[in-house]
Amino acid sequence: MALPPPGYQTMSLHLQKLIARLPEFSLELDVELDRPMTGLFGPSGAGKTTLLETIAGLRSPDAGRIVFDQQILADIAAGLALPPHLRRIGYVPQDVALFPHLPVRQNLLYGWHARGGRGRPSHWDETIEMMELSDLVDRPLTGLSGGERQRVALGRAILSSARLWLLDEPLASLDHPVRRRLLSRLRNWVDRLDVTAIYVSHDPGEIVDWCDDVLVIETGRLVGRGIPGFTASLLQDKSKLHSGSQDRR
Amino acid sequence: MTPEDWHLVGFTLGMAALSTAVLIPPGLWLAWLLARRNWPGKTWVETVVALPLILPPVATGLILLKLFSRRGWLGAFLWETFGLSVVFTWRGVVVALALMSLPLFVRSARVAFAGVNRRHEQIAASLGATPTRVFWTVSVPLARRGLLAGVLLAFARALGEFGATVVLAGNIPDRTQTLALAIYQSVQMGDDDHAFRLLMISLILAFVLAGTSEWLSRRPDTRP
Repeated sequence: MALPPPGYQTMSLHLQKLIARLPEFSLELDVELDRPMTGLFGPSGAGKTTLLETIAGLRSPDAGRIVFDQQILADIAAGLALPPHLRRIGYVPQDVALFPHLPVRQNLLYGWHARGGRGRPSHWDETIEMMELSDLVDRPLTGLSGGERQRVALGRAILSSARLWLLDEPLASLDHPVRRRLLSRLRNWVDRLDVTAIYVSHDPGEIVDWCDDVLVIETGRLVGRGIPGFTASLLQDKSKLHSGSQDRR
Repeated sequence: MTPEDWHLVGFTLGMAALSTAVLIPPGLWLAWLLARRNWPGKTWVETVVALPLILPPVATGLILLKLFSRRGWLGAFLWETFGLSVVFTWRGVVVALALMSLPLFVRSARVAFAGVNRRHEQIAASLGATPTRVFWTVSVPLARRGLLAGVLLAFARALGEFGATVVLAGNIPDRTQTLALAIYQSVQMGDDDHAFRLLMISLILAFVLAGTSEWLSRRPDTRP
């Protein structure tokens, strides 16, 4: 697990008495995330995607505050909600949602240009290499595999000059060895670019290996927090440890 | 075809093109609002936009005449502010054609915008795109086929417009006379050969445009 360098000040994300009502249950969280990369773990339908979309501003919470790096993203009591385009977020949704009318290169540069960047960002070459996109950059979107699409979506978020990355199973369609290789580079990138990342995964092994912190949520409630406790719970139930990766092999 | 006929065809195509260009900006905005937003009075706006389709065109023309005459609300403003006259001028032709074509464009564009996956618009916003940027870089390109079909439909409708145009702009040869008005005048004067020639031109233009619009609407999108 990578540790932040000495003197490193991670931008913290406060979810203060956050409530988002869903048809089946309410997502209710009151936590502060102050580590570079936090894993989000829980069964399907636990509210993980809802949480990411609420932070991204794609859905409005019913109550509470969201504060990132001392900037209020949403404060329901005060009637404040920063529009999504002002939140400086790089969101990689589960469904990828690449822009079907744009070729790969334009997809990758969309966020960079939207945030006022010109040409290509300085970390373009490294990102392309890191996400193994060299062969895809000049291709149309047609014919890309699920894994290739996920890598493009991840590259798009990384290149968007965001401060907070919300990664909803961004590598789930890739083979296990490729996933671990890219995840290792991704983790390195989180530290180098000084961004904060929330990484959703069904593979507890990935979270233990690459995240500094973990939130375990079930039916919208926080039921576990922190890597040591998470590891201990996994050791008690070893069948979980690599279940996610085996499922996807 | 005489030189006068060619001039008439050119004038009609020009007026139809200009009126379509005039209606596209408000039509796009209106169609997007109707497809993507809910607000009090939305039903009223929908009804008003559809009115030119339902009202007799001559009645629409009469409303326009009242609005754009020099004693009318808009006409007085245009005359006093810019020195522009609309009634019985080519500007009147453009206004009448644009208004009569607007409902067709808005309906087509609205369906096209409603068919755009909101997910793409949301993700564009989350990546830092302003609502205007999302509109121009995601919504419009993804709705482009339906929008183009709407443009063609509106253009085709403008080519054949008669009732509102004759009331607002009159039927003045070389100044406000379009194909439809010229056909009417030829029939009135008993010049059936001329009327038939113009009818064939109208028929060909309408057939090509309506067919292209239909083809664009039905053609499956091969993009991923």
